[in-house]
Amino acid sequence: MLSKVKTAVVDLDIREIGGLVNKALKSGFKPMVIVQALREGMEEVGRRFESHEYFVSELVMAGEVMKAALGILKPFLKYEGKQTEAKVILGTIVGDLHDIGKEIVKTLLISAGFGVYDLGVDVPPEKFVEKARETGTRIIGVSALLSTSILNAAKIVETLKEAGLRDRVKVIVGGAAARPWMVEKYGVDAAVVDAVQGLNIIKEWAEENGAA
Amino acid sequence: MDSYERFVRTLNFEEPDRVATWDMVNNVDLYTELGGAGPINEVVPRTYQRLGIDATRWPIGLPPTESKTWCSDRFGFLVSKNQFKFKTIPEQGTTWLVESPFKTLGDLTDVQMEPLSESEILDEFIPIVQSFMKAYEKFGVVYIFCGATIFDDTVLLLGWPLFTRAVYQERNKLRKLLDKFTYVQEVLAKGWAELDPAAYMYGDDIAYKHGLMISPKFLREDWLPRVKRVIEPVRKKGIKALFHSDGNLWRFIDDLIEVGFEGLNPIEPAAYMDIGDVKAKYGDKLVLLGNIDCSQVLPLGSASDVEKATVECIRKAAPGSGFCLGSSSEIIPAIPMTNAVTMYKTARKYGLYPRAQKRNAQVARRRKKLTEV
Repeated sequence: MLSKVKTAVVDLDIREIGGLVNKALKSGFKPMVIVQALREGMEEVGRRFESHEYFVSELVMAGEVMKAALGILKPFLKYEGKQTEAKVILGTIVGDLHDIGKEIVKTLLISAGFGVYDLGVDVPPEKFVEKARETGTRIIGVSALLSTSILNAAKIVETLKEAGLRDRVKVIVGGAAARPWMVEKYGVDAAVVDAVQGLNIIKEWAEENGAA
Repeated sequence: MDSYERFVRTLNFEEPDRVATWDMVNNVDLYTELGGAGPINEVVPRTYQRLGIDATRWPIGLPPTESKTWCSDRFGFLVSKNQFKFKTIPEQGTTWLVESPFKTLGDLTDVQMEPLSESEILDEFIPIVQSFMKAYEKFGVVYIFCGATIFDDTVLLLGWPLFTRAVYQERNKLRKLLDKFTYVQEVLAKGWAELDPAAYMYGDDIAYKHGLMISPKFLREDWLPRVKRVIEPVRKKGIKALFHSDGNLWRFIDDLIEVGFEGLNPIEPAAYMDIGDVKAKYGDKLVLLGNIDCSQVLPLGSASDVEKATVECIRKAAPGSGFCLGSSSEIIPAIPMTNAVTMYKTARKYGLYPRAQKRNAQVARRRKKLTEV
């Protein structure tokens, strides 16, 4: 049954996923075990995306399949007890309204067990920092497609310093405009162009620092 | 040689005097500094002339400063009673749809959007493009209309999640929407072809940095046949159809050639589109336009970086003609004037073709002789 759930994610089968998740629940599988099968499916989708077998459209569609499955599982997950997943603040930086990259990362993060505060697009640096202060979140993910918006992304680091939060919060810039040298030049903690690479870095941070 | 002859010779793989230039200027600072005084239909073409750009697809009067207010009840030439909410970022001159009436798969049929009739479209379109042609011509610049965008506009209209669900769940309904955009573009291409232009461009961003955004299967089944319909009236008249898409197109260039495209823009180096490799593989079939990196080199590099990139690009792509130098998309607002000016200046300095170089050397020798006499 669980392999069918995983396969439905990999095959992007949005028509079947609801029925399969319900069947798995009725068969007595714990919701978190079903979530694990969904994650495994997403990991395979990620692999196919990296090997150019799948495209942005397939990644987005897999996200839709995940959304449909999690929609069914959500009420049951409430009773699973403690929430252990780390949280990430995500947003597309001010001056940029592109959201494909952010949506892809969001899908990958959720399927990897992270909680996500999605601030949307065109988000000023102050809002990221405000949210970090309000929620105690220790990872900020900034999406930037346009090279014109990179400087705005870099301002988050300055704003965190001014707020006295820089030591607590890590900043990762992702998107077509991101380049590794931005770490040194702008003081961000990571800059990646690839969503899966970004996810892996965030996972490492969460493990190393126990980021909330 | 004037810009028109230089551009046309380049399109025909004949040697011009020097490398032709192609670009779109989306930069208020450049218009302010170089455009001089007067109405916008003089300021814009004068800027191109002063920069030394031979040809462009930039529609005078659209962004950087004006918002797409016409889209509130009309999406191009598709009319809808539903409201669309757009947001323009003036610093970028780009407009996004931030609220669409398409929210569920059911809306694919429920939301009414119908194209205008052919005569209604052309009555509006022809005078506008003719005025662009005329305005640019006055300053010796060639204007090329760019039709757009069956794929891009549909994604913009529906948003990625709904678009992909439509691809997988409601392909026939999606096809009807694609057909409406296709019809409008067919009419526009037909109208443009009647004006005896130097070329036609069709733009649709189907790729991003790492490759195609959507599967080649979908593109072959549902996009290419429609694009073929769009460029047919242009090709029938013997006018070259050029294709624009950002991103890494390696996997799909053969398909584009097969459907009838004879030119490619903007050949983004940041998306692993090395112009030397593109030239080696497709240089006899495609005219190449663009390639100077506007994501890093032009906005963030020094003038010397720009000069180096331009010289390198000319070295790789200019031999044998069929190459127009320009940015890898447009002269975005973040590009400083010095860098833009350096790029075109370098093209003039290092882009001379052998015959022109020989001629210049002869002139120099004659001058020297005369001085000695």
